Amino acid sequence: MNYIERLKKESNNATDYIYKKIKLKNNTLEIVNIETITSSSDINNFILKRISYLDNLDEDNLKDFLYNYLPTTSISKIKDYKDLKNKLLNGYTILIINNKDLLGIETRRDLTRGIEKSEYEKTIVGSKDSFIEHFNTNLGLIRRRIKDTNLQIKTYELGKYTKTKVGLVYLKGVSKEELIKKIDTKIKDINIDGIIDSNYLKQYLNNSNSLFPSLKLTERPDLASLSLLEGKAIIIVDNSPEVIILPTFFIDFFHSSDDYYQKSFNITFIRIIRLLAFLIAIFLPSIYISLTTHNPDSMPIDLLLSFKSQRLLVPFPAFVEAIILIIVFEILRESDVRIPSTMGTAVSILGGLVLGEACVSAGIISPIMIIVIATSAISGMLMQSVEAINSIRWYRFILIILSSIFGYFGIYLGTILILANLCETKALNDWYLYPLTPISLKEQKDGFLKLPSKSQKTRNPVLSTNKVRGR
Amino acid sequence: MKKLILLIILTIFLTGCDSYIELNDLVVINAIGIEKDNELYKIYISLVETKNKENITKIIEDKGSSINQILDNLSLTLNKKIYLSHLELLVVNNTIKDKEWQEIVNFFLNNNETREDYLVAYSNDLKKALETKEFNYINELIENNFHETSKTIKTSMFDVIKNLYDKEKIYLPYLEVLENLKLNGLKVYEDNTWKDIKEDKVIYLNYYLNNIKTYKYSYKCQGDDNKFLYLEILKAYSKNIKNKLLITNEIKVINNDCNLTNTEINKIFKDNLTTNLKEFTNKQIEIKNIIRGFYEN
Repeated sequence: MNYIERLKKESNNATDYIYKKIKLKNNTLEIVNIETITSSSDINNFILKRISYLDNLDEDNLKDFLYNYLPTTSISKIKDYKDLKNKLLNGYTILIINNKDLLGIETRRDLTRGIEKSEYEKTIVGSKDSFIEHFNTNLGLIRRRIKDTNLQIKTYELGKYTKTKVGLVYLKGVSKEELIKKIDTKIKDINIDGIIDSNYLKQYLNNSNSLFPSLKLTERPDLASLSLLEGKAIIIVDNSPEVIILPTFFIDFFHSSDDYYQKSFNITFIRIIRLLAFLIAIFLPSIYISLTTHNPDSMPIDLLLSFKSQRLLVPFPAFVEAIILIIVFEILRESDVRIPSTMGTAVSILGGLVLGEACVSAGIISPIMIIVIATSAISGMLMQSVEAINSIRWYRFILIILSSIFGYFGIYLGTILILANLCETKALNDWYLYPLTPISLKEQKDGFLKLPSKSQKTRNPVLSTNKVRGR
Repeated sequence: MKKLILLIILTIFLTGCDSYIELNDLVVINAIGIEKDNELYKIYISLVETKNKENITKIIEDKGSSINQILDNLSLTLNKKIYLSHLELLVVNNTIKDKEWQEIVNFFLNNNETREDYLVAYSNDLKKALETKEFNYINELIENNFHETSKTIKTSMFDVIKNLYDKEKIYLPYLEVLENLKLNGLKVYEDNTWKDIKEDKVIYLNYYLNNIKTYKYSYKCQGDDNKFLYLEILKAYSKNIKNKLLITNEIKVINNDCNLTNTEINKIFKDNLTTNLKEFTNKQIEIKNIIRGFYEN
C-alpha cells in the first residue's frame, strides 16, 4: 500500500487532508498537507511555485535536489511512515517522491494571537508583555531578555495523542545540575494521553501533600527570566500561555515581579502588607467565630455589646452564617470569572451591593459578618497565584470549622496543623519554607523584607552553585 | 479500627460544644452592688439589654440567701446565661463584714468566668450609685481622681483578696450619693469595722502606699490671706525601709506670691508632709525635695 492510500485509510478520508499529484519528466511528486493547520500561501510560494519551474527536470536524485533547491531552512528528510504522520500533524507539507523518498517542509499556519498585556499578573511598573499559546514565541520572549548561549533548552514531546512540545529552560552554570536532572527525570516519567495546558503538567511535577502550591505558574516573561537568573528552571508548554517556574518556595507567593523595579523600602512595606493580608484572609473569620461563640471574654465590653446588638435578629449560629456568606461569595466570584465582562458590573452590583444590603435588612446576615468575610476575601486576593488564593480558601474553611468547635484552641490546633504541613512540604529537593525554616539570614534580604539589590551580592545557595552574582 | 478512630475523633471534637454559646444567649453584667439585709443578700445588678439594635443598661435587684442563688434565679427569670466576664465594678456598703467578704471572695474565685481586675468601691446607697451613673463613668471617675489628684485609691478585686488574705486594711473609694454621685475620700475596712478617711488626707495615705502620681499643693502666705504659694508635685516616690519612710518629690512652683526662697518652700512642704504622714506611720520620715525653678533672694 502506498503512502497516500495508507494516509487516506487512517484518516478516514478526512476532508482537510489535501493531496496533489505532480508529474515531472521522469518523476512523480505527491504533495500532502492538512489545510486547517498549514499556511496555503507558504505552500504556494515556497513549494508549488518553485516546483512549477521544474517541468523538464531530468534528475535521478530528486530528493537531494529538492532538499537543496527549495528556499527554506525548515526542510527535513523523513525516514518512515511514522515520522511522516508526525510531521504532517505538526503542520508540515509532505513531498512524496516516486512513492519512495519523503521530504517534510514546515508550512505551519500561525494560529496564535499576538503578544498582549498580562491579564492576571498586573504590575504598576515594568514590562507589560505576556506569554501566549505559541512555544517559540514564548521562548523568544525569554531569549530577548537573556542573551546568552548558557540559556539552554531541553525539549520533549509529551502526550500519547497530543504530542505536545514541552521545553525545560534553564541557565547553565547558574542552575544546579542535580535540580535540572531531577526535573528532566520527572518529565520523562510522565505517561499521559495528552497535555492541553501547562496546568496538566503541574500535577505530575508537584508531588507534595500541601494545600499550598509548590509550583508557580506565570504569564510574565520578566518574572520567568528573573527566576532563571536566580537559578530556577522554567517549563514551557506549547499551547499554554503560562510557564511553570520550579522550584517555588512559600515566600515566592509574596513576591511580585515589579518588586525588583521599585525602591526597596516601599517593597518591604508592601510585602509586610501582603503578609498581613494573608494572615487576615486565613484567620479573621475564625477569630470572629471564636470571639462570638467561645471566647467573648477576650474582647472589650463595648465591642462585645456592638457584636451582640448586630446579631440580635440573625436566626443562624455564627458558623452557619459564615459558611453561607463564604459560599455566596464563591458563587459571585465564579460567576464573575465565567460571564462576559459586559455583564460583570451588573452581577457585582446585584450580588455585592443589593444582595448584601437586602440580607442585612432582612436580618438573615449580620453586618459585622459581611465585613469579616468581605475583608477576609479581599485580603486573600492579594496573592497573584490562583492556586495560592484557592489554598487560602481551604485554610480558612479548616480554621472556621475548628474554631466553631474549640474556639481559640481550635485556631491554635489548626495553625499547628497548617505549619506542620508546610514544614514537611518539599519544593523538589529543598524545604518549602526556606529561607524561613531552615533559616537563612542572608536570604532574608529578599524574603519578607527587601533590601536594595546592590546589597544582595550572592545568589540563593539552595538554587545555585554559582553563588556570586555577575560572574 | 477505622470506626474506633472516627469515634475518638468525633468525641474529641464534641468536647468543644460544651463551651459553645451565642452572644444573644448571654446577659452581660457590668456592675454589681452587694449588701446584706436581714441575713439575706441583696444584689443590684447592672446589665445590658439589647433592644432594637440598641444597648440599654438596666438595674435589677433581688434577694437571696447566697449570691449564687440570686444569680441562678436571675438566669431562670431572664432565660439567659449570666455572664460575668465583663464585670467592671463591684460596690459594697457597711453591711459587708468578715463573713460576707469571705462569701463574696469565694463566689468570685469559684466562678471561672470572672477576672480579678475589676474595681471595688464603697457607697452609702448602692442602688442609687448604680442608677445615677453607668459603671464606666464611675470607673473613669476613680481612675482620673487617682491619677490626676491622688485624692482616692484604685482598689481591684485582686487587691481586696490579697488584703483579706494578709489581714491588712482594705481601702475603698467612697461613692457618696446625695443629689449627685461624687467621690468623697475613702472607706477603710479593718477588724470587722468600717472607718472614714477624709479626702484631704488621702494624699498622705497614697504617699505611705507609694501611690502618688501627681497633685497640687497650696499654702496661704503668712499675713496676707489673698496670697498663695502653689506647688505642683510632678513626681513622688516613697520607700518603706525597716523603720524609715524615704520620700522624694519633684516639685514645680506654679505661683510664689509669698516671695519665698527655695529653702523656705522646701521647709514648708517638708513640715506639712511630716505632720500629716504621722497619722499613717510611726516610722522616721526622710524627705528629699527637688524644686524646679530658682527662688533665692
